[in-house]
Amino acid sequence: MSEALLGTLLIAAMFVLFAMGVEIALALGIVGIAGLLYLKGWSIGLGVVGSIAWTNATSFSFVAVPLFVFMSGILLHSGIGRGLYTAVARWVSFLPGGLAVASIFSCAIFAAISGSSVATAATIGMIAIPEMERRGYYRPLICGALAAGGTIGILVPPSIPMIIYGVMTETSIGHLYMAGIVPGLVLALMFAAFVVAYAMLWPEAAPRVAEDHGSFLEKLRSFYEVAPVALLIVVVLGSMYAGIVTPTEAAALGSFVSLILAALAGKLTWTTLHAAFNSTVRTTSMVMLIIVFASVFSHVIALVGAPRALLRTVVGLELPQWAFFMAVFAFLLVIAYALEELSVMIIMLPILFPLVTGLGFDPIWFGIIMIVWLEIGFITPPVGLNLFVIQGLTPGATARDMMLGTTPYVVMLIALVGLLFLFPDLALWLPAQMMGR
Amino acid sequence: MIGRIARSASTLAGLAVLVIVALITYDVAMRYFFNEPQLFVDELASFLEVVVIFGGLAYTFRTGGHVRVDLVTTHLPGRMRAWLRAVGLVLGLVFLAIVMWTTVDSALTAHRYGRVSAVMLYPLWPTMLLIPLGLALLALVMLVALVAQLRALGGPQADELPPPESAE
Repeated sequence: MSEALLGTLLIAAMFVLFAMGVEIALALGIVGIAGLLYLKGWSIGLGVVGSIAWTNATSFSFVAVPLFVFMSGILLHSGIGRGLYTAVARWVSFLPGGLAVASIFSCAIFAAISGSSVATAATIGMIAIPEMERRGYYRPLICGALAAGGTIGILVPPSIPMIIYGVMTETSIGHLYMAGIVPGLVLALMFAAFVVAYAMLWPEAAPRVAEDHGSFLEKLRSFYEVAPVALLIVVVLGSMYAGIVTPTEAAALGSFVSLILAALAGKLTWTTLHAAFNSTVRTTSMVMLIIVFASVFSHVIALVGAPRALLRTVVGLELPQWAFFMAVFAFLLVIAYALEELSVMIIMLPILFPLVTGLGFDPIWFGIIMIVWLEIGFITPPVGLNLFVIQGLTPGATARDMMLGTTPYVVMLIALVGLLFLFPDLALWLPAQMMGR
Repeated sequence: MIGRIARSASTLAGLAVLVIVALITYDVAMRYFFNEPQLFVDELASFLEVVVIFGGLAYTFRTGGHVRVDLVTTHLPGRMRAWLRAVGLVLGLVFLAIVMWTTVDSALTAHRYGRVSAVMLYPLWPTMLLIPLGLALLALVMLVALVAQLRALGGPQADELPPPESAE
């Protein structure tokens, strides 16, 4: 059997298993093992499985994954960080659609201590949604602002998907973190500007209430309310950029300080802890099992020479860079409808990364593109995680409300990808400053 | 019974996260304030990560946490969906048996050659054995799910069974 044929067969088998509803991790492993047995035989072929599992499972960088999920869990279930929304709302509620603008800015600030899109949307949503419902905000406006706002959580550091991208492609996680900051701010401003324009064109969607204008004293109080979040930002991001700690250590420090803050607030109960354990263990097991067996699968794909062959073919096409990039991105958008996006990233990276960097794209820049693509996936059906979370938090919200609410943000995220393509420095300027130091 | 074992393993994994937090915080504090880095921490934390990942596998399965694609299966008749699930579980179990065998083999080889960690020279095989152990627990809960699924196939309105537990 020729290598090209074998590679095609393996990928086809993978899609058949996916379609049958086999767990993604197991499907990847089944195909990977089948390929290894065919190529190398029982005794030589399988030895590599143990070492791949061991290397991935004991990677110190990956330890940051459970730690950031754990920290988010503690913050979510203990209610720390909820003061953030109230405080931000006091400052921006004078704007048209002020409470929705506050939701977006709160998400962007919370993103600086949260590495997850879902956790960001849930934490801010728990306070912001009832508040906006009470004031009679238009439901799609509420749902859109929070579902989309939450996705900023993975673009602004820390970011769990960036950790995975960084380890898998051997790109510096610190540089990826730096690269996400400016696009994250651009995105928050874009989202906020959209909400303001929306509320100006259609004032009934976001009724204004006089009591929204906080007094000067109340504005001063808001500094006290954001203190826990501010402290955590200093601990997590400050310590990392001061060069004192690695990303994994920053996650541990953040978890430690979150535990102390929860204890001080009298919210550190076994229920809180257990709920945080639950989300941590389930996320880590799921993601890491996929990573382990995707690595086995990509090892086989590399053995048959698929990435090299693909690169040769694409170079042979002599496409202009923009055409190639558009093709890749369109492909990613389509495939995101069939599979959960983080899994797609893990499966595709071993093939996509050599291709994209081989054609001269910057690895850090492409990491940011992948993150923005993940953000799009999180707010598009059928498997947009943020949609489920926000719909669950908004009583009576329908799938149609969610669709109506998030579609404009999908357009804005695609626009951001365009901006990043035209002006790569949006992402690359900050990390370049850091490297120059 | 099997549910309780899976839950206990998952709680153990959760406690391992707590220990990692404590260890790393201690390391950073000692390094920053006393200039005494605790070299054992990085390796121990990596070992505990194995507990977090593989200890939680079975519970994650029981609560439907392992991502699957239902885009195709939702459009099929219930009986066919039930059959596909059963076949998928059998394939998964055969696969897990192979992986358990080869990871046990890796651990035994590490034991035989006395492989140790790079810095603290901890023996690797005990932690390596946790990988097949977690996979075995996963295989066990999958076997239970397979038996239930095969039983359900005999009924008049066979369909794929939902996950046996819900999270939290």
